[in-house]
Amino acid sequence: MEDQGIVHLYIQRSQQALIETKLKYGAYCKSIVRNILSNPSDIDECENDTYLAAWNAIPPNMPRKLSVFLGRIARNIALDKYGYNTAKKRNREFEVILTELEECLASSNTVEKEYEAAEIANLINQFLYKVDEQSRNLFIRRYWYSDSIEELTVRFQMSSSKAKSMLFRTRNKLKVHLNQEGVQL
Amino acid sequence: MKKEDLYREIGLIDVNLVEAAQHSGRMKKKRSISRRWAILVACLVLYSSTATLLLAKDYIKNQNTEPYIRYLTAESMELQSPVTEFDANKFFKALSSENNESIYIAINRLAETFNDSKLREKALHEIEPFVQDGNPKIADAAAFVTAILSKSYDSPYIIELADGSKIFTLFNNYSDYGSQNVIWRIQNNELEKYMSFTMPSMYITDIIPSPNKKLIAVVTNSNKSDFVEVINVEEGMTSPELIESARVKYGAQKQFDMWIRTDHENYSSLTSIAWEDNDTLKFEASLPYEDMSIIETVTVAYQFSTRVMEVSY
Repeated sequence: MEDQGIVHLYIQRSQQALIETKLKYGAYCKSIVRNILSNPSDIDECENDTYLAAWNAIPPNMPRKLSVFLGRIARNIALDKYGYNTAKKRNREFEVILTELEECLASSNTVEKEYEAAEIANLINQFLYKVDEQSRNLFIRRYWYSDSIEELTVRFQMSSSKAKSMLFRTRNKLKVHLNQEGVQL
Repeated sequence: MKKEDLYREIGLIDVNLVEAAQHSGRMKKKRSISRRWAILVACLVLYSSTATLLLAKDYIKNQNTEPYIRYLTAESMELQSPVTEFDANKFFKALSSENNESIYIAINRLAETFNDSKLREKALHEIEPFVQDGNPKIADAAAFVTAILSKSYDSPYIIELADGSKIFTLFNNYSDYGSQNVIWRIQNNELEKYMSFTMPSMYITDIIPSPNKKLIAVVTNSNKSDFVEVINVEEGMTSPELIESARVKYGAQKQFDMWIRTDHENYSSLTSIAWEDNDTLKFEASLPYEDMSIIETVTVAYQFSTRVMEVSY
């Protein structure tokens, strides 16, 4: 079913919307959640919570791209769950991704400023439109979809060391860009 | 800013960028498979199935050494398989008993045959004579269960909601305090246990639908305390328990000494309850403070959509 049709079902409050969403985007949502969490029960719970959240959000929200809308919800729910889990149960692969992002943050002795929601996202958008396409896609696959380095090497047909060094350079550039924009994270 | 917050901010980047990255990189191509490749794949399948078997064996072994229990249930603690399934024959048999209590229980339990057309027909046939029974409690239960099983739903105990589903409790007013602590729901011609209330709630005293039948106010009690919740059955959303919430809110306003008991009994009682409009529930409650030395009777108005509660003396 086309995305428009699925969204229309949500607007009509038809429970078929959930079935169609699961059929079309179940595997996609699960793959995003699986990159953040490792426990199978947690993954199933987050997948179901994603459908429920979509049900509660549409309407009034009208997603421009249903896949990204669902992926974003799944990602946030999984991140909440990740924070709730004890260290022992955490996904080590994902812990590495977060540690990489830590490099973009200022040192702990810097006075932090409170930023409005999505304020940083806008600056990251500006930055991503400036960098070359491959670096951009690599960055988004790593930090939006939470792909592992192995998955990136297969997808972009490059060695793991090349993928790592490209990500490293992009993170450094992002840090410089955020600094230039007056942001001290 | 924490690393998790930065990760969350990245989640908000432009939709077009995310979608472009979704299809970026190498796409899978269909290729014809040569015989040599087929043999190699067969070997790999054989290898992986053996490896999976070994891994599964290792997993089960590790499970025993390092147990992980996600939900601890009464059955799991007793090392028993789940409770036995609904046994209709036991209840059909009880209908011919001399014991009125057994007959009353059997009539109510046979409402659970609803989803099985053969059993439902049989139950309907066997319960109908009890509608004329000399015992008013049995006659009342028989008329109620007949209304469910015949799908006529013409009983004051059955509430039809705006979405067309029907809700009710079984064992109506079986005690001086109320009915069985389970709300049943018939939706799309299927009967299901919709919800029950946790301790200390023991009985459902009343289910009051809003004028537009979209919400229900459910009053429960425990012999010692009354409790009220507002539920949107269609959306599966419920309010907090309102009487205790009102007690805490009013106690804070008046700076009363207030404790919450570990058994969650609040010794509060409900004196009147009604819907003011489709969204606002209004009730009077007697709220105890300072070891019951102060009893305040207050009026509470609760708006479900905004979750705003007003407590006035």
